[in-house]
Amino acid sequence: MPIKTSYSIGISTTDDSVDVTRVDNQSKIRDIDELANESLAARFISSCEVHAGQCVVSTGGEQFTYQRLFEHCVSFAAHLQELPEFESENHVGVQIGNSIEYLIAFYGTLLAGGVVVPIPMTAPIAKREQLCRLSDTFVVADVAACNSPEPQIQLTVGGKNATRTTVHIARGVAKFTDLRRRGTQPEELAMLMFTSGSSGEPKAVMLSHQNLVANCDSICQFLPITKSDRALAITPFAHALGNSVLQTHVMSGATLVIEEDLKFPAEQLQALQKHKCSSLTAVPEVMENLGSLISQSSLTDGSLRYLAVAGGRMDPDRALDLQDRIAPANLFLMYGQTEATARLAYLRPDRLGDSAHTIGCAIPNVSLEVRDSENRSLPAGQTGVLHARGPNVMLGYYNDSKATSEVMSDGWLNTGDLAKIGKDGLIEICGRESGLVKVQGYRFHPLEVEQITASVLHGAQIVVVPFSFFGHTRLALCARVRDGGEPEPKGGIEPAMLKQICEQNLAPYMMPQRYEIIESWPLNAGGKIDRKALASRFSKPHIASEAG
Amino acid sequence: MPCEIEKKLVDFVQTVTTDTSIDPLTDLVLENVLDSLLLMDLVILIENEMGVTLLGDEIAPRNFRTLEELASLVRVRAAQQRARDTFAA
Repeated sequence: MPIKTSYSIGISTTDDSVDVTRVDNQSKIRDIDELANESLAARFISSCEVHAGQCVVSTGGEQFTYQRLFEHCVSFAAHLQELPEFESENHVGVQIGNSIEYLIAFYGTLLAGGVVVPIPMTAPIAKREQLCRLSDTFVVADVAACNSPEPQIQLTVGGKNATRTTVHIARGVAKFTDLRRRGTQPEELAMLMFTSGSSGEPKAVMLSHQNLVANCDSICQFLPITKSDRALAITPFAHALGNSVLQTHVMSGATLVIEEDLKFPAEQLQALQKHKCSSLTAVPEVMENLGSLISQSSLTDGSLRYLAVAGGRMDPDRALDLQDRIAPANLFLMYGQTEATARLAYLRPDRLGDSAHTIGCAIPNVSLEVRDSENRSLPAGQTGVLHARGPNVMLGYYNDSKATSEVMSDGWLNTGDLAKIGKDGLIEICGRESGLVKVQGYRFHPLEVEQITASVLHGAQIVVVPFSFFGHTRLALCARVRDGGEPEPKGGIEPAMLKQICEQNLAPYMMPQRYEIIESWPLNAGGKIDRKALASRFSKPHIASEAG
Repeated sequence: MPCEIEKKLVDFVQTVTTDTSIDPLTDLVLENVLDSLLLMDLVILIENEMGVTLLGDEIAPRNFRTLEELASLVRVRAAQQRARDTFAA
């Protein structure tokens, strides 16, 4: 089928001006009708069949082919189906770091007709239990500790009286055609991905097979991913960004290069060089640190084809500097949300020079529109809330129709980001409508930190405020002993204790960077705690501005 | 006698970690003090408050093992920068 490409911008004309009100991208890699006939599981099977001998994961000196991955997935699916409690469409938690085991558990679950619920590796036990409860997850897969040459995955069934089964992943046998015949429908639920809600409680984003396939196809139309690509996969697959890297590369027959614990930029560069990687997709914080080190001369063999940034706003000057350093390789700036599977917009590399402050335009098959508080489309130059529509927009939040109706209407998703469209159709993010913050590519609400710590520390009032640390968002946790109250544990509270509580109960990206005991809260005119005044105590100059 | 840069770095790390026992010679890697966010914030602090931009290959374990070593690197880079500025002027 020929690839159809057409970009259009919704334009309304007035007497003396031209206003851009909507940015559509109707490029199509394939017809929507054709999309509707495919599930992610079916796509995975096809990719394994077509790319059977290709390497899908290169890790620790070992190469896993698509054929071998497929056989392991069939074996995992069979183990799942043998569990007496397992039924099709059950939710299967996957708490596994980036590894071949993650791919086996992910696609194996889909082949068994289950729904994947990625649980961040960083989630402590209490958080994991909360996520399982909110998503009705009944079995969790994690990596079993053993010395077997083949991957091993442990399945934990149930909550408090959990039973554990170690699954010895063998090589399952199944015919591609047989599996395809009993495949799932595209509109069925494939994944639940957690994101933070404005109430502070995590919400599970329901993504269908079609959502994932559609976003994958859209991304593959602007990112030059081919089967000869070798992507260094450092963003966790449990994160929406990491998940999009996983899906786009597996569906393209490419190779994911996985190395453990690449904390320092020098180690990341070394991994890029050692494995002759052709691409890297990461959050801005990682890319900015890597930026000053990376250059085409440091990647002497010229393997690098592109870098892609998403999950936050990259400083425009640093983006331009990085583009210069990696030329002729390209730098792609992207924008998205978990609620839209992953990506919504991207900036074409040839527009970086004059538009690095924007998120570019909608990705293929997606429409973006800026609206006012009355839900009316706004013309170019006016700031409103960015709305998105497309086949990648989620089905809704799991078990939360109220929250779903707050962000979705007539197929449009309210991103909660304040934006304006330029006359050239490129979109600039101006801030956030909600109180969500983004740290290291993770979006969450400070209230979540507040609620978790308050549930542990009785007798004290906790307030968590975001502050700007030279343009980067960080959190400060302030605590005050309640009047007449006695904090527990006894003996008063101190910053080190607050930090310890946070370490025991929060994911690392949620950790505050400042802890302060407050004698009396600053109050605003309404007599409420003045959070802005509190934040100003910690802020360092530079106005924070973020885009997802 | 600790220099101003070293004192600033120690104050900063003590504030963020709430650990007042951290001194210029504490092994940040061995003691598990250094995580990716603290690493990044040290780079940002050095750039914004000390005017020194660390290059990517300098953001390596060998320079972040202790705050004494880090302060020493910042001093050298600041001196190089001053020399360059003087020469340029």
